[in-house]
Amino acid sequence: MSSVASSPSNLRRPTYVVSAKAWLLSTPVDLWTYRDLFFLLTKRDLLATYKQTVLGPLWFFMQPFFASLVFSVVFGLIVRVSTGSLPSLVFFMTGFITWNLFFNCVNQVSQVFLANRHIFQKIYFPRLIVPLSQITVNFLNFAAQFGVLLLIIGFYNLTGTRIELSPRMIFIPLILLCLTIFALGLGCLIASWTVKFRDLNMLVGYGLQLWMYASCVIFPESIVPANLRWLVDLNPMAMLILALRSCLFGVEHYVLSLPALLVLVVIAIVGLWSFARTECTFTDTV
Amino acid sequence: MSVVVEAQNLSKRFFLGERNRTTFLEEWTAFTQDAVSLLLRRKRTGSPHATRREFWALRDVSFGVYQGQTLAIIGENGAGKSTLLKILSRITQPTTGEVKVYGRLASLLEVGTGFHGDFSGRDNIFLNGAMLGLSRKEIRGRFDRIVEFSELAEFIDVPVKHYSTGMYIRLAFSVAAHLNPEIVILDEVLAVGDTAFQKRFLDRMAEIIREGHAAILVSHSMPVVRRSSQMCLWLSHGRVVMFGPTDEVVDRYERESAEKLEATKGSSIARFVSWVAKSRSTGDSHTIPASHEEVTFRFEVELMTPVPEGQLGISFTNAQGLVLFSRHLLLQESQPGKIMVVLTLPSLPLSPGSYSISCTISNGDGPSAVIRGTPELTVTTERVADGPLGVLSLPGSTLHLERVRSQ
Repeated sequence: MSSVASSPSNLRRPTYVVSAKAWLLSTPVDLWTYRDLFFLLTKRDLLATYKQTVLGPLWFFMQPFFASLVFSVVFGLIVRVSTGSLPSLVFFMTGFITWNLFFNCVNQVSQVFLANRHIFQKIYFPRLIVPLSQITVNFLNFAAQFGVLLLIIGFYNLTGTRIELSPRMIFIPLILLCLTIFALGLGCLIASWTVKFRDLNMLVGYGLQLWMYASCVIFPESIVPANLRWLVDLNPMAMLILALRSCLFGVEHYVLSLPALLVLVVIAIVGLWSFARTECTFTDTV
Repeated sequence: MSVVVEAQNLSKRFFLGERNRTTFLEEWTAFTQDAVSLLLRRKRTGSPHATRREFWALRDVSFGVYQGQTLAIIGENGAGKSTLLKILSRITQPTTGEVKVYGRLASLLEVGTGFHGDFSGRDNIFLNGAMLGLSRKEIRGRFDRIVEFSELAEFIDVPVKHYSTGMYIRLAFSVAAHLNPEIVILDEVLAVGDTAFQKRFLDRMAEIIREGHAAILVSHSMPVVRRSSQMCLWLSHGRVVMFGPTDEVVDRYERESAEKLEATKGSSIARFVSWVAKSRSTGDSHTIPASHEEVTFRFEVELMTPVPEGQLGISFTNAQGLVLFSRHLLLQESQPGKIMVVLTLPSLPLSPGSYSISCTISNGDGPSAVIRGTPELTVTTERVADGPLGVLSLPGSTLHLERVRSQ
């Protein structure tokens, strides 16, 4: 230690350098150094939602269940959207919990700079820690909801309605990984823009709601009219939700759409790039 | 000694106006206005360049901090001190230049950042500690000391939203006091309020610095700067005015701020003409020996305006800015013109050195202002090896040993 300290400064490696030439990037090394902050933030966010509620964590299982129930009544019984061989509750719930994961991730990550500016102006830590922990929290919630979905499927099977699960289920983790990367990238992209244009914050919620109707969440791919096909073909979320249902139940044989995959990759890269760019100087503007 | 913080040519540019134009609507309105005026071939008063006027908060700032040193950053408000701290703490990127930091740095621009009201003191210690760069293991190792320092042991599992403000601040300072960094950045605003607890916190910080760590301190209080730092960086309008040993920098800083104050205030009421000091053994002079003889000071002051009712004061200040002695007299129905102020002291028990004498004047209820041209008094004495030191030099004082009879 002392030999390191007494050597000339140009021979020692700086702990960090703040330079006009290099961005204040959250490098993987920085992220690893602050891993305990990641765990504590994740724990805090998980617990904060349950604090002072009577039913506590139960809400996370009930909320998508109720929403799916509403959709299955409206679209299954009244409007009569065809859900193929699947019971409408299972069909809607699968799409809905997946969409919910995406929606919550994008919505929360897109506000990361504005919501945390008081902290970011006073303390340094790799900013990416915050979006990563938000996504982890949402992912854990999704996992719980997915568990409920599997229970419901089991219940249907016991009561005589046969729902077959496909062996292609093993691809689901890969689909979810793509989904979280896409949500992180898009959230980061919007977060960088909202630093300059606050109004965008208001639009994000509505935009995402509209987007849901173009993402085959509450209807099968087969009912999309031919003149609106491009909406599905270019839409990474439609691709992911169709792929997920296809892998889970073996219905709706779906072939990955390359344009949508390209959109996903581009948005993820541009999003993380803008986040890193904004991270350097956003405290000057907000 | 090895360098722990090395800053080279740091500059930071802001665009004025950018901060305000944050909504899409405003941006859009500005854009349409530009477009309309372009169509009508009319010049708008506020051109887009005017709304994006650039402003350099820092310009070519270079300095180094070495192990075991405390660097104080001084300068008036808006000199760029906060911007500099933000760059050093990795919160914002400089426009030019770079800083190299060697060692673990804790930047205390605020305490208690990121506290969450719904969680207990215990949870918040962990979260705040992690934000400041500690691992969970390190926090666990210091947890008991943090709680003990905060004196909140019995409330540690209560959500902090039920804490009083004082308890909240105590918890926040206790985490900050146990970071054990190699370099501390401390903003003076933290010490505002000066409760006994905050003093304990600052004592603890001083202890950390004494243990061989380095610190960077921003302060407006020159006595604090003199007491706690060896090196001083004086910023003005984003530029370095002076960087060097604290006493030299602060002496000049204080002299120039005093002059600036006089130039703006004192000159309108009165002007300093001349002064002499006279004791029985020396003639008229500005340099006199410390003595137990009577000394007479004669100050000639010219009143520029009539002073119906006011006060005139004379005070002696040492180089550290400490007021040693001060007397006041009432001015009544004084007309413009020269007056002679005579001060007689029974003795001049000062240590050798330079002192400033300031004449202040107030007109009616207004605040008193320093009269331009503060005189410098030099006090000399015959220095002997075991001569007196300190502010006071009491001629005729003795120091000797007496035997203690052992039983």
